[in-house]
Amino acid sequence: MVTEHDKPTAAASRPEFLDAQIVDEGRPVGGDGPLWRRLPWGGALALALVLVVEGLVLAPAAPFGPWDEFLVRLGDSHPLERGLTLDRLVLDRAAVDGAPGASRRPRVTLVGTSRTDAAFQPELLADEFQPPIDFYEMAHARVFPHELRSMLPEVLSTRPDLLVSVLSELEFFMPLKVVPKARGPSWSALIDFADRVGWRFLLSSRERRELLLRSAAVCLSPTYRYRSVLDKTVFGVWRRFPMGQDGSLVTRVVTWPPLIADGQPLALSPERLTELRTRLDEFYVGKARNVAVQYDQIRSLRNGEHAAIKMAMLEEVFAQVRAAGAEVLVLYGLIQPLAEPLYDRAAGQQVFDAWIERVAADPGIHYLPFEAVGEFGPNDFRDLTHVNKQGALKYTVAIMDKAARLLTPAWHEALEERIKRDG
Amino acid sequence: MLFNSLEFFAFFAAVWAGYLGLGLLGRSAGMRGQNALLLLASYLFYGAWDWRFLGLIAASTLIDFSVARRIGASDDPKLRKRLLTVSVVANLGFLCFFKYMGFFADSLADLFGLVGLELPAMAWEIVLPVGISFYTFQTMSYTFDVYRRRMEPSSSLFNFALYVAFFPQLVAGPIERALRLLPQIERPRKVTWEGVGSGAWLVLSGTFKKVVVADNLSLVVVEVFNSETLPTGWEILVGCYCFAWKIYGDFSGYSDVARGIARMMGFELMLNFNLPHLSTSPADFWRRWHISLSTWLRDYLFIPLGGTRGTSLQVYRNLFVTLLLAGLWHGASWNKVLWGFFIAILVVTHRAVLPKLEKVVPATLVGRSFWWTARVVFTFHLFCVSWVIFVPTTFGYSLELFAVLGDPWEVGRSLGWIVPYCVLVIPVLIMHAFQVRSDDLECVLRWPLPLRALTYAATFFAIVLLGEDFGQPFFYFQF
Repeated sequence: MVTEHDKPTAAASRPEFLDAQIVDEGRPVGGDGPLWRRLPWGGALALALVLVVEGLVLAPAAPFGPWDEFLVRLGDSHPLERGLTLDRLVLDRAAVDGAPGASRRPRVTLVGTSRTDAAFQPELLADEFQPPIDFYEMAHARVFPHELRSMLPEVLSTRPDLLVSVLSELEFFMPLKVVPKARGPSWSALIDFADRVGWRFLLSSRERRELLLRSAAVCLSPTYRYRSVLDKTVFGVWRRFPMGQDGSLVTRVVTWPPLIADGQPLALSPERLTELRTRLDEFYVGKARNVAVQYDQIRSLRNGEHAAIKMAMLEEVFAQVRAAGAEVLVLYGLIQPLAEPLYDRAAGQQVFDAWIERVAADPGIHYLPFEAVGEFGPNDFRDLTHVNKQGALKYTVAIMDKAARLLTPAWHEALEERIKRDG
Repeated sequence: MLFNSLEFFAFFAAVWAGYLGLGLLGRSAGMRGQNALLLLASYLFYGAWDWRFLGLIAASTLIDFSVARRIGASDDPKLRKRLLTVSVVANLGFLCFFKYMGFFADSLADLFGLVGLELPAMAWEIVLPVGISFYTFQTMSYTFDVYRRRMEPSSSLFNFALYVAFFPQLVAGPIERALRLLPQIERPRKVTWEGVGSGAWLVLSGTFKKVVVADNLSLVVVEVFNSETLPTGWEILVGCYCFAWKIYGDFSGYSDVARGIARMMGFELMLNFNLPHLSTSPADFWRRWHISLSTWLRDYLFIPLGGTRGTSLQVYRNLFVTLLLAGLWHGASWNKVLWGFFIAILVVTHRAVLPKLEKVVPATLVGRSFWWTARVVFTFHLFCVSWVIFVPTTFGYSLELFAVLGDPWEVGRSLGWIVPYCVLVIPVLIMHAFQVRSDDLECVLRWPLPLRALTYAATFFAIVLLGEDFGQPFFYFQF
């Protein structure tokens, strides 16, 4: 469509130096012809193309082709991107499992932080002890309770019969952060989050406004959400210029400040703090860096309003899961016993126990305290907050046992009979 | 508030919705309402950076409005000249104080130091108001044009204030003339589907140039020009290539976004960049690069100095003065002044050899194409040399870079930069080729519908997937 205003030209013929023609004075822009010809059809068609591509990003991609490839290329070193990619694979698998004609088995979806991820390792259990249930693991690093609210549509799309999470006061009392590459394009979660945190608070500084707007961008464009995955797998070959002296790639890390971390610090000052720290370091020789990070995490715990916000958002998740017809199982997440003196665990657990007692009044929400999971010692943990294989076996057995009781009681009874019979 | 920020996206969406709604009130009432909204939005936009400098832009507005009114009302040449002087002194005074005071003080101290005198140390912590270099030039052009009787002074302070503070072009141009923009403010605008569509394309393509091309290339530029270790010869060359396209993407991208936003509201801002990296000579470069500044300097400095009238030496003098000040406009540092000096040498040299160059007319199409390409490549590299002076923060570092260029060149990391450089720049060059072939900078708007839609969608995804994190400021933002 030709417009009325002068067509800016690229012509090279010009008179002397600095003698460029000034473009004609502006005049109203208008067009001839019927309205339908003047509408921006190009823009409309482009918008349709964009929506189709964005829809394809979210749609299940059988048989797991591109996301599998991304996972391989990501390697081990990108927890956030791996989490996003693994979620896609889980959703793809759930879609395939739920396809018409497929036999429908009970489903359990696990959500939560890396502590849930570390605690559930079904490969440690022999097949004969694993119930006929499909397990979908969507627990990854940094998926804190309030972020589950954003993931809810995806979690519910797996159509779970039981939602499982390993939690403790740790997840609630850590400073509340909203990572800009947030999970799940959910306007309702963003609005819910902003309502609870307070719009004035979120609009009161440039960093918080940027976080809010970035989260809105994630809601608007799923492709934007996966850009970090695509950057590292597809575009990483040429886009990240090798800048290090040794030619190594430099990853620019954007760190965002915690939004809220108010309230009383739970960290105590043990008399022999230095000795305790040394003892932890010696216990975890070779993993000192991880220990140092988690040491700081534990000592950053505060029982403030942010904890109440996270609890409220998790309750909303539970309510919607229950409304979808599923049940919930929460297991208490222990930390390394040697690290317990680092904070006032009794006070923290008291708050958590009060919360879970109220929540578990719903008969469809089940709680397993750590005593019901098993006995844990220092050698059950690979660092200060995550269990190792030995500890994971206990959690995995507890999860599968409870899931079987709830979802496949016949199988569970048969297993118990067999165990009794075989001693 | 930067154009390439989600904050601005939300701001403009709200302003545009209000603007369109007010347009429904009828021609006259709608126009007044729209102007009021735009003025408020412009001051909010400017105040979002630093509210303290709203007073400065308001003062500049009031001074030039009053002065122009009095100039227009007087026939006394001496009084008119005195009033014009007031405007120039006031505007240049603001500019010199905020932008150049520290530079002058340091230079004076260095000068005295050369002869063994020590001036008392003065710590100048003056914040540079964003856009001051643009709006002071804009208001001065108004008073000049009124003085020269090219236009009548505006009777509405309100409209004049909007002309000064119009947010699409307030902080980084184009430097609009009152002759162009004031009439558009003072009469009802028509927002059309074509205007919205073409404006949206300008915004999209401008954002692409900024966040995909410029911000990605800046990663290399920082490594070469801001690094603690000296780059190698080849690294400097590739760094200059990257800077050439980075500054183009940055500045022309911003200008395109400004024009696009304005067009979506029915305003037409002037073209500011006309494929400058396809220039065939230094003079041609200045006809294509930052056109609003170069024409401003031509009309209000070069021509009053004498322009091309007089002897060759006089013309060269005029060119040198104009380009030295053009360099100084770009920054308060000797690097920028020396850059202006270097550019002046290029322009003067080109002017001197132009008669001989004009005799080179290859007979065949291949020959003409080759000659054109050779001139473009040569001019591009001449300006690459100038970036070695322009970009570093100190002239000492520029000299070190030149010293490296004088030694045998080592490859260093440059090979690893070539591929991303090509991947980012080639799409721009392809677009340039289409634009030159069709002699139309907005040729995309006239492509067949499927191709147009594909281009729009691809540009959107390029921004979303490849754009550097939103929030990198435009190069000229604090000018």
